[in-house]
Amino acid sequence: MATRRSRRSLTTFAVLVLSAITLIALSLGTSAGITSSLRSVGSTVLSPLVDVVNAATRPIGNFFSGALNYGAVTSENQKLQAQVDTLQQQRLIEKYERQQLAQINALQGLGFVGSIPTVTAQTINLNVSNFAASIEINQGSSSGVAVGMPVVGSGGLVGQVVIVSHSTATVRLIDDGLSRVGAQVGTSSVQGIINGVSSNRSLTLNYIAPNSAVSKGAVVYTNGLQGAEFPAGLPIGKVTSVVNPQNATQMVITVAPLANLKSLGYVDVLLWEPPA
Amino acid sequence: MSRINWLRLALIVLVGVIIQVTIVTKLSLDALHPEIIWLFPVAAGLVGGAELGAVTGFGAGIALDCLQPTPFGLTALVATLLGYAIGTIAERNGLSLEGSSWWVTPLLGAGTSMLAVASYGLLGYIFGEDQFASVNYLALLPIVGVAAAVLTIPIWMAVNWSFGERKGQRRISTEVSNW
Repeated sequence: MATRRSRRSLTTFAVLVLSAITLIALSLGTSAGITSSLRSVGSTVLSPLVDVVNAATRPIGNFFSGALNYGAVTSENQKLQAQVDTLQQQRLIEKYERQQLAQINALQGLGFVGSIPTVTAQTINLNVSNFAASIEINQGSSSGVAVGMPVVGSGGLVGQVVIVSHSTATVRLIDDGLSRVGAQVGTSSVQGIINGVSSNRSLTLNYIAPNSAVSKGAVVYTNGLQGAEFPAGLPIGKVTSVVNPQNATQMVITVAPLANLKSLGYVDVLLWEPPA
Repeated sequence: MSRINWLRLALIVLVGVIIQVTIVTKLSLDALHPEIIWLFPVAAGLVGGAELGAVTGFGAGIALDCLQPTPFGLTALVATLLGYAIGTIAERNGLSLEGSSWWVTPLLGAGTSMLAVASYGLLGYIFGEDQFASVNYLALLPIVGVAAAVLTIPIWMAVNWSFGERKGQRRISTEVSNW
């Protein structure tokens, strides 16, 4: 009897482990769409409950968050106050520059800045998982947000929506290890892939052939090639180091994100979906 | 285990997953937060044995995987392994938390949770998630351990309740081990 029960539990265990490994393999492989669909179904079922609890417990969570990080909050508050003063001065200058930029964008056909509708969202949670660079925002499918939409912050690209519920969404930041963004350096024809490494680490620009024209300080944009997951021309970061190793198949390039990923109070979700 | 017991357990796990993603993630220190999800398969394994531990771990893990931007199935895999391992050890040795010293339950919860987090990071790295290697485990493990130590007893009691029996009535072995 005990042996039969033991055998049954071993069988159950084996089935569950194999199922989990299969799901992991699918999510990391080329069939990620299957697990994405499963995740979407699960998220749709669970998210209404999560939304309700989130709404009810946000003040409590904020209280604990503030209490646990009191020193940091005080310090950050002082810094922010100083920034407000500076920003007020800069605002008038930026207003003028924005007008100029709008004109330049219109001239150069970079109309996406103005033509793609956006939804402004507030960050309600940082790092949903200890193992992923992500944020949770307070806009979801009810505002038109969908999986795959790009998210931008002040300065440039912030990440991509990966999980959506009715009133919230999870954004994978570009410095997450799973983040991949098709990129081009400046207005040149040098194209590569921006990979995240992990939080607090610079991005890497990969698949750039040796001796390509990439210089330190150059701005990297999304390339928007056919089938790309981001529209063209979103600024991603600035090249911080360029190494051209001998006998290597590609250059070693690091890029610092233009958006301040450590301070994402508000972000804009571009209501733009990657082509199917 | 009757259908009502399964429903109760599912409800408890569901509540646990929602608390994890809504409240616990906000209790962060230096961008690291506790992980209470591992306590459910541990409690289920101790209360109901290896099979229940594995099933509870898989269910809790998949539910959490749906809400996190990490490899889908990884939490389920680690939680299944954890629940089965604890359940097997408990079954073979006739272990029960009933009658154990006051510090055993928190210590067990803390130890198994920290082990689970470390295993999660290691397995993720093996599956190609290089960023898992750069997580600050020296800071994360104590955070997870302390939170688990505090919450092990309530979660174990909740899982025990799901069996619909009075505390102490349901045991893996009739022999209560005095750890």
